Amino acid sequence: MDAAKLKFKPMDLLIPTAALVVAVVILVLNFTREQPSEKWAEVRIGGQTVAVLPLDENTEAVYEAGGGHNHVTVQDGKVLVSAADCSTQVCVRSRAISRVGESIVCAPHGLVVTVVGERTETVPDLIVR
Amino acid sequence: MKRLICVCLALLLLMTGCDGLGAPAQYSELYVDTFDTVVQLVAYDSDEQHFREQAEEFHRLLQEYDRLYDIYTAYDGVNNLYEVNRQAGVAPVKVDDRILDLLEFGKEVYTLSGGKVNIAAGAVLSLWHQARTAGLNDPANAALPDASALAEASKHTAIEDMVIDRQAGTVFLRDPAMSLDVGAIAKGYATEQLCLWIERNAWSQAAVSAGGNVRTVGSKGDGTPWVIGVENPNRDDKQAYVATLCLTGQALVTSGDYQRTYTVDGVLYHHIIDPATCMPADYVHSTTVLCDDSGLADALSTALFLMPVADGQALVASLEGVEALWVTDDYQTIMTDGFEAAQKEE
Repeated sequence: MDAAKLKFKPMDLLIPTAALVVAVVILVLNFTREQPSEKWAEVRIGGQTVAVLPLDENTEAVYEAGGGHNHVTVQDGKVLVSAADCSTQVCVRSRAISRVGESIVCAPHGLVVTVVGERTETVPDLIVR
Repeated sequence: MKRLICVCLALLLLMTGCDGLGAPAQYSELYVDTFDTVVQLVAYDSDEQHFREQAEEFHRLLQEYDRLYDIYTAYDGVNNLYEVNRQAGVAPVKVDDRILDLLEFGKEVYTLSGGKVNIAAGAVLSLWHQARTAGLNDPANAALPDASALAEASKHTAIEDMVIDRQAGTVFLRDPAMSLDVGAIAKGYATEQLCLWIERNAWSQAAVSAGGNVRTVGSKGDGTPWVIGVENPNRDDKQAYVATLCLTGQALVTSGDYQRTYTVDGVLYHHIIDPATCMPADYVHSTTVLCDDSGLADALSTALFLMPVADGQALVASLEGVEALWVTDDYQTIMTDGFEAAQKEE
């Protein structure tokens, strides 16, 4: 074998570098990609679970609660109370929620909507509003 | 680097897996039958049975406070604030010490806020309450309270006319046209009293949220602080929270222009009324106060909401151990240094 042919050439770095770049890209993708986790909106009235709605299916349902009604809408992976005839309207003005552990509460009707599933994002323990 | 340490710690935590035997677990309860809002109790207890029993007692006390401080409803066998208002100009009413304590606290808050937070302004606030209730029931005919009625009512809001007799255990409203409305302080004050009860009798690690008024007791079960989000008043902003704080034993309370609202001719009116104008205050979108006492935090967040930011900054600077956050009318956030320091690191 010719000694000159064994000499290190810059191009020899190409494959290991490419491999490293690919590895890093895959690693980063894995870390940053939204995990396709299963999530549901659990609807409770007076402490009793009355429905569990998958967040990946757009739906609207009406619940009789506390002498009135609440419209619960699942849209684009989020759930909200879209309408209600309660006295405070706090539930209707609440933001759409999508993170596990977040809740919307209608105190006058005793209705609570909570996102349940595997916790993938950090949510505060409590919220002030 | 910080992030790397966090990741390592998280991995370590995952590897250790389940808690050891007898380690306290987190339990929670939700109550929707008091203070016209939702009250959430979270506590760490090594015995579920103990948690349930103490939580039941907590709920009983919560209901007691709610009934005592209720200005809209009479309850059998209870002389509450409804009764005190009904007897305005007629006779002193013998009441529970917990009412006298609240009303005395209300006087302190009046002084502290330069008269901005006034529990004797019920005559004005009830007109707004009636207009809002009617407007929500019949949106097409929603109307503002009559301006001349508001002006007349505002003449009957002197806190000096609320006469407390500790010895006799009574309170008397001297002006027959006046009434008490403790909406700005009752939830926070009751939350504080309940948390003092928790500290003495039930748990060393707990948190109570009364309609978004948060008071923590100690840390979480793993020794880390409670993480509390402050709601973003701007619903068009994707960010759900304007700040996320770490709390160990303190209270955090927000007042905002998006709470208890109703619409008149396409304009949204909220429920925090400026005594100077008898109209909803419009200095800022929201104010949040951090301090040890939930009653004080509740009262001060209302006080700050009712004054320009600069006045509020001066008030906060004059008080020991009080920090604050403002979301201004153009959705800028302003925080005191101590508030900034309490933020959770990302």
